[in-house]
Amino acid sequence: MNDQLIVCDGLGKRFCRNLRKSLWYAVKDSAAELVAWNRGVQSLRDGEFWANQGISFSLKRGECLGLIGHNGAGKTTLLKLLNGLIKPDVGTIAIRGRLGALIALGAGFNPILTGRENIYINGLILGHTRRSIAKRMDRIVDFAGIEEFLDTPVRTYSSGMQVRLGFAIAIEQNPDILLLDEVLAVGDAAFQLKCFNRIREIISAGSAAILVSHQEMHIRRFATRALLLNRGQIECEGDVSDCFARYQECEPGISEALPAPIMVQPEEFRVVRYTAPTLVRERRANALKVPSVITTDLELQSSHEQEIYVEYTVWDRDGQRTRLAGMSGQNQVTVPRGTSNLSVRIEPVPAIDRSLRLSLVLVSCRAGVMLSYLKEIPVEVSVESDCIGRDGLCLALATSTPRSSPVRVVAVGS
Amino acid sequence: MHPFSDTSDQVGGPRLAVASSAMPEIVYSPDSPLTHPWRLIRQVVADLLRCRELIWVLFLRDLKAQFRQSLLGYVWLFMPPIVTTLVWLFLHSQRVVSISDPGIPYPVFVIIGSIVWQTFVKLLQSPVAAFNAGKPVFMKLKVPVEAFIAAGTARAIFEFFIYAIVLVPVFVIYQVVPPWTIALTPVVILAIFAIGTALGVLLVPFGSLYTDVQQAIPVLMAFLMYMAPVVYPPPEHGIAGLLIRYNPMTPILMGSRDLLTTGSLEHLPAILIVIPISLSVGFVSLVVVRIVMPHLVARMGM
Repeated sequence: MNDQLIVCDGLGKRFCRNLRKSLWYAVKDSAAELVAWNRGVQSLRDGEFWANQGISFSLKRGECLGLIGHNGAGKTTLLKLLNGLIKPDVGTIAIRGRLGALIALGAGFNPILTGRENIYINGLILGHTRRSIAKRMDRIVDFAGIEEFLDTPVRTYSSGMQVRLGFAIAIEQNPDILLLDEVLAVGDAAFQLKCFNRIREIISAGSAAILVSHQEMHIRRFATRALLLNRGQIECEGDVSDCFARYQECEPGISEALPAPIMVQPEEFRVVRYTAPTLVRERRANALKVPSVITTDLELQSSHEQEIYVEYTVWDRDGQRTRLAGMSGQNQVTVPRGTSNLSVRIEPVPAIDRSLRLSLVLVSCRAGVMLSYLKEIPVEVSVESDCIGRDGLCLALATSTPRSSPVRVVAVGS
Repeated sequence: MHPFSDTSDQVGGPRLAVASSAMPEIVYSPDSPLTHPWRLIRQVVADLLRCRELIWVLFLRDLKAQFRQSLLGYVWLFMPPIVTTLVWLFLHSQRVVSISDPGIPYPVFVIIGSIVWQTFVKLLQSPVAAFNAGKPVFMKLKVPVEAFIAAGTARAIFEFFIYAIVLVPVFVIYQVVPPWTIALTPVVILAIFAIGTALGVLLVPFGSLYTDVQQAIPVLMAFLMYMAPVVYPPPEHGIAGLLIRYNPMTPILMGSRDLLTTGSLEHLPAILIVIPISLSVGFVSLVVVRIVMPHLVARMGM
């Protein structure tokens, strides 16, 4: 059984720097196609250069190829060739299976129309039918976390929400081959983690993926091997570390220009303990209508002083539906070297008549990487208070006895 | 040698086949897809049929997006033919222009001509406009371009039927009783759609590369409007008479008026010739767009 899903053989693509000449070449090439005269070329015309040249590689099921290279190295051209948007001037590409591209998230979104309407439009553009979109609607909305905004115009969405919605629709393609072009930096840290997990699921299910990213962390996270492009040609292919080492060699000064990738080791930062998150609810008869507060205390261990911020997501009991998400506090927090405590306070939490789960993501401000992820901890509702603050918010702190629990997920990126 | 199978032949252009394991296989090569013309035609037809839902949704999207933020909403759809008619009525009543007796009430003559002409112009402009509007999608995702073109055409057709509603009060006011030939109007409507769309799709490849096409169409159409019997009956003699006689829009314009008012079938044979020619040109143009699409996308930028 042949597991190869992509085979590229001697691929070459010319582009022209001069706009007028480029347009004229398009007319000539189109005319040549129409008389079935276009049989591939080996030479360049005036003003042209090879955007890709001599590219040969193959990709099997379950593999993820990290495509790296500086701007203008030919990565996007290669993805366009693989996606069939442009055709090669030399060589061939053979693709087996359904190809899905996470490239233009939210392509075709109309800002005037609602999120629901745009889900149908974008889904149909990506090849779904109305029926299949209707079936996937709840999943898309849950994944994007926009249920409260589903029937409002997309123009009222933040840019992050739009990209999240675009990603949630695009990831429903379930392709055999997945093309990802710089789309892993979407949304907040918790959403990124959801995206990572979904992509991991797709690859684990036997799909192949080609990932373009300038973030070494992303490539290292997914890629089983890498391909370094330089001036349109393959500079290095194989082990990810070797390709990154070669990447820095072939671009003098790149190691100084780019921040060094920070790989957080488990011993460098971890959440040692946390108290059970507690929802503080008012004692009044109509207490369910009053927003509440969730609090938890974390004990941290850090190998050095660093700035972090905390992102939170409040989930339904089933862990499927996002109720609330955001950043805890307005400012970053300085975590000292050694052991320290951090109080996390989330308010106001809309009154919800069901039990909740809390996820926390601790992110390094310097590197933008996740340091730790506390996944879906059950939120206790064990405290009642008479302390009513401004606008009916309950400002009381938890009075229950803190309970220590082992940390479930620590040190992402190790 | 085919990379996946020892039984398949290497072929040119984007080629779709079904492998033994039921996974689709595509091979992209520099060869022209015209090396396998029937396969190409089958793909274009299949994509058109497959994209019915997308065409409908894109049509609705553009319609909703245009009017959702408008106070008067769909009222704007009725305005162009009404305004054109009012302008010519005014000029005619003030003797600014002298029009020979067209044989039917002049307002009826003008409004039918305006509706047919404006629909033709919209159909002509629509494919290039729809293609250019869809460029951000085409340059990133592999989508059937025909769906975007067809959605634009559907919009022009929808507007035609809205325009046509204006005819009802006009016929009542001027006491024009349509003859039995009104039953033949679908033929003339088909002719309008066919010729407008065919010429519009024909312009897409060039119009997507050079902006000249989009700039030239309004200028050219303003001139051609007077070289067609839109607001005045065709003169019998002179250069204008000759140009109008050989204008392919003349039988459509005159024929639509005749079928709706006088019942004459004089222009029907010419219309019946225009239809198959236009449909053929339209389909060939769609295939041409499909063939040259990779070259157009390559010039859209990254």
